[in-house]
Amino acid sequence: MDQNNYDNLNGVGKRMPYNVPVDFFAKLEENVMREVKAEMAQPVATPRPRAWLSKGFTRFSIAAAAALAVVVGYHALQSQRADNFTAVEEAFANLNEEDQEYLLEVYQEDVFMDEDADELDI
Amino acid sequence: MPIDNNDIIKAIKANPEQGFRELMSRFMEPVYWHIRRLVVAHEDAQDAAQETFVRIYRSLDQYYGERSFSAWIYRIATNEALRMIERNNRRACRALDETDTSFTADAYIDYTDVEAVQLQRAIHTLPTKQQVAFNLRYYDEMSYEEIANVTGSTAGAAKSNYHLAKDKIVEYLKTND
Repeated sequence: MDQNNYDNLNGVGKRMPYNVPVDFFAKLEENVMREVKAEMAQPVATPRPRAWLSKGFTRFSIAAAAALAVVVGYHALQSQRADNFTAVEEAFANLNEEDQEYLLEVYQEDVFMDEDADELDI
Repeated sequence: MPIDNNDIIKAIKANPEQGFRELMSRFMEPVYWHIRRLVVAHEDAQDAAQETFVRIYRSLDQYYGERSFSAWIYRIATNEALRMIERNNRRACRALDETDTSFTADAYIDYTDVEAVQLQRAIHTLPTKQQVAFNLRYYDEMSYEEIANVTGSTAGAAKSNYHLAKDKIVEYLKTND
């Protein structure tokens, strides 16, 4: 290759050495749709009615629990406790069932949690 | 006429199954090839692509339009590809090592296209962020702004990564001609 070819990668362009089986994309689409339809068919979890908890109170509770977890975690660190995460788990365990469900619902499927630090490395 | 991303989002809201099929029709192939360029092996790319679209379906209600729909989808796909690489203990990266014979084990690589194989080897010598930036610019023709949206960086960083990557690739091709 001459210099221009190197600079423009003209020797290859966008050509790739990769290929796929016959009908691959149609099959892939069907595989995905099968999984998606199975999820569509699952009953949607509806939140139970809350007799006295307002949304604001719930958020306050979560914030307070999170703050408590941080404080407890900090003191645990200061006292050189072996297992700092236990304090966070305890704080989480002290939440009522609905708030635990809320936290799990919001964060367990968050595909971008810590992505910059851990996965994308960018 | 290409399908507009906003039309896809509207279609999904109106009819999830039909709308999602339109989404896959628009993104299935480019997303697969984006993943394939990162993971190399066809079977790995197939698994990661399938998982990508299932995750996209599950996460649709978390898309708030804060970045372009394409960038959002490519971001999920990139993360799935990197998860796959991590899961395979970087098998795919090793596969492109010239001293490793596993590169020749994939039935869906055309080894007779020596230049194309060499270019892929060159790309895989790069750090991940440069690989991603180069691939998105060179193959998917994304703007630096879009690349930044995919990678969670800035347009300046994306541009810098692309040019660094290209220089390294040219150098690799020169020394391994």
